[in-house]
Amino acid sequence: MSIKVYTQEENVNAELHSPEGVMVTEVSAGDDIEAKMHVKNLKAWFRQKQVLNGFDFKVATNKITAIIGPSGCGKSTLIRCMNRMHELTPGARMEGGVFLDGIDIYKEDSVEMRSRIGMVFQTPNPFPTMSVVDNAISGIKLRGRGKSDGKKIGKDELMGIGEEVLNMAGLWDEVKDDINKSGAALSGGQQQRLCIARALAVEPEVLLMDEPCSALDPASTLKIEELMQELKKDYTIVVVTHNMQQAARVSDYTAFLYMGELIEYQKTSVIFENPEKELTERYITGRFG
Amino acid sequence: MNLRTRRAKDKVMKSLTLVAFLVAIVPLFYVIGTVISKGLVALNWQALGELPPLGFRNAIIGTFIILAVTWLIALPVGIMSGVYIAEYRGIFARAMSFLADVMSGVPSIIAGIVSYVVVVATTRAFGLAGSVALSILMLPVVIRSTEEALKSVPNSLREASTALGAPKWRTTAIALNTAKGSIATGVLLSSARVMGETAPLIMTAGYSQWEFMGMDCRVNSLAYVVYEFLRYPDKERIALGWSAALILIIIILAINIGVRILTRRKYEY
Amino acid sequence: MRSRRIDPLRTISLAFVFVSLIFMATIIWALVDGSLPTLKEYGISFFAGDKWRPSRGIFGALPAIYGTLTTSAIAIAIAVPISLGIAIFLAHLSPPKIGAILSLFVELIAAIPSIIIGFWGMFVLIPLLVSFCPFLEKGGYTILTAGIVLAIMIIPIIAAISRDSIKAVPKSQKEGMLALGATDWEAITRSVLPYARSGIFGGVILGFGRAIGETMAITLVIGNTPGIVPLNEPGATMASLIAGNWGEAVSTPLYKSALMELGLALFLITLFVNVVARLLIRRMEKGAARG
Repeated sequence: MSIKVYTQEENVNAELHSPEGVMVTEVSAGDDIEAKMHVKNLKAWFRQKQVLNGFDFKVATNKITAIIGPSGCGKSTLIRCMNRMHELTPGARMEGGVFLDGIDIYKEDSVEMRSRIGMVFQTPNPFPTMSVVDNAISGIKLRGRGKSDGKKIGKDELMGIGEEVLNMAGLWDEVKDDINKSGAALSGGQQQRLCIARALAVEPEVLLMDEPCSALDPASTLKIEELMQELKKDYTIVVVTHNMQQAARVSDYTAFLYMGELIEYQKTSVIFENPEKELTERYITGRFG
Repeated sequence: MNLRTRRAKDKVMKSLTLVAFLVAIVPLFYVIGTVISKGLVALNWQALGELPPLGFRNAIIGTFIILAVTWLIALPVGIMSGVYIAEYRGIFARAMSFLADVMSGVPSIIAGIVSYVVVVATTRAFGLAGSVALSILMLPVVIRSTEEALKSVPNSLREASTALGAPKWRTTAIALNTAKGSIATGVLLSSARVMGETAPLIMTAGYSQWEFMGMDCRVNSLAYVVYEFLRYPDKERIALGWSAALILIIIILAINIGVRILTRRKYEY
Repeated sequence: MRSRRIDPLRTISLAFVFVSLIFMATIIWALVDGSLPTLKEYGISFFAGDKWRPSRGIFGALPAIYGTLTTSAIAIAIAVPISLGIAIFLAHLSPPKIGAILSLFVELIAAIPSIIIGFWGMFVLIPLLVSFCPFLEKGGYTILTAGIVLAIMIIPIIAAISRDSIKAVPKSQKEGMLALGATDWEAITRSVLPYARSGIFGGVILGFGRAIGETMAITLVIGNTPGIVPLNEPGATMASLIAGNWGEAVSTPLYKSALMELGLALFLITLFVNVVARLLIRRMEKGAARG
């Protein structure tokens, strides 16, 4: 099985120096992607240090896109640029554009954009002073009780939303008897699914997941991976992972980042079976990283 | 609430935190400004060089004598207690550390009463009683500063010393030597605080218009001169009282700012 | 095998620890000893009496307790919102480069001697308040004035401890709320402050403890006439009564003893308040150390 390379649409700075001095060609997944998000010529810095060197990147609608690469390659920065979290870090700066359905999220209100592009973090971060169900509805509560049509959301309705999203995250059956316990009282895997439920409650279109399983045990990891398969029917998912097996298992597309460059972006089956670049192959086969 | 209201609320509340900050530091500058403008009126060599009622020379000297005796009492006890707490950890050491924290909140007036009962009522040594009262206030701070300073000495230093066969006291002496700057900082900040204490001195060292005559007599101090001179409607005394306040605040702020700039250390409460 | 060596340092430093303990025990002993005459004479009725008339030998502690609690409550009511604002400003909103200097300003307020704040209150703040506040028609030396002066003095304490508690909150907490589409302010109030609440609460209680024991500044601005009166009238606190009347009481054993018993009560209250505050603050610091 061999699907050939996707030619890039804007081959501007195609020729790049790989760290080993090998000339590589930048690859971006192709025109056939129905793009939910589009990253254009994205450059990012921490203080003086440039972490992303400027590349294009499309995220396919209702698919799972994995971003892999060794530590420090810029994968977390990339995902944090995609919902405007990067700019919150002191000393952080970026250039280029990130588009959601064709609108530049950096030209819109950051608060609105973040509610349309949800995020799940590396370490589960439930709000420990809130109960499980309050955690789940914490995002929706930000909008107050008013709905867009002017009607009020009642307490029952909020609880209903809480139950619904906990159900979607596969957590309801496990926690329904102690939804009033603190969110921090759950196990690590449950906490992470609670964080996913919390993100789903604000009805985002895209879900960004920054190494969501790195703090979890294998059983919890498996549950989250199953959940991701379930969720991609309704959501577009981008997942950063340092675990290549995970990327291979869950994702439809995979991007390989190395030292701030997008080295290769392919269908997952391609990148793991027949990568275009030697660097990619060496990383995937575990020879560095 | 729609997004525009939420954004507006965000802006308003964030601006209010700046307002809160400004409201809080207005008194700082207002007080300092008042003390400078009123204190400069009568500040001259006579004020610094004469005895009351013309000046407050004995109060400047007295402040430092009381402080020196306070050090003699509080430093050995405080530093050695701190050494025990930091070097021989256990439930007793932890309890002592907590007790010292709690004791640092003892109102200064209480220290005055205690020193009155223990020293003045039995020996009538007013000056010494003043120092004992201030020691009660200073001791917990010295204990905790020493403890924290020693705990921040890297363990590798102790291990290296122990590996060379040095006995425990030797190792601790080396650790103390490393931590001395940090301990000195704590002592200085605490000294600046007790120098301004007036309430404990009401019951103890009190007021004197004579030269220093020994710790068994009344010993004048800057804080007490401020209290004594500003209470009565006598223009010249009031002006002199503000001058004493100016000298006191200069000493205290100089220590605080100096220490903070040199060490970036936080204030201890 | 060598026999266990005696560690001279341990013995000596332990001896000094006991000296420290004696210092602390002496506080309680001296206060009880000094209070014995009134304890014997009045017993528990000392704390039930609502009149303080030393010239007639009537010593009731209630007016002073009332003054202490009302002034401290006013101070807390003013200081807590302002201190929280300062803490949020210093921890999250002020430019990081000048943050240290701004913090220093706040901390320096705590360094100004109480006596100087008191006279500033007397000479500057009271005339100012009287000219602005119509409800101070009976003069500026009131419980309310004392509460305001106290607020100025405890703001740095509450602000500094709240700022440390807020800074100790993991960044992921704020980010978690922001990622749900919260504004900065919503993220701070809904995730950061609740997370930091025990440390903040500890700071508030510590400030309360300071307010209760604060002496000279209060003595100078409260009017020092003990009574259970409206807030815009002169009153007295336990500490101000001791400091303001020591000179005339010292020659009358029962009067002096009554002041010492006030001191004993004051000490026990501050001890309790400080234990609670320190437990909360230590918990906050431990949490911060864990990350």
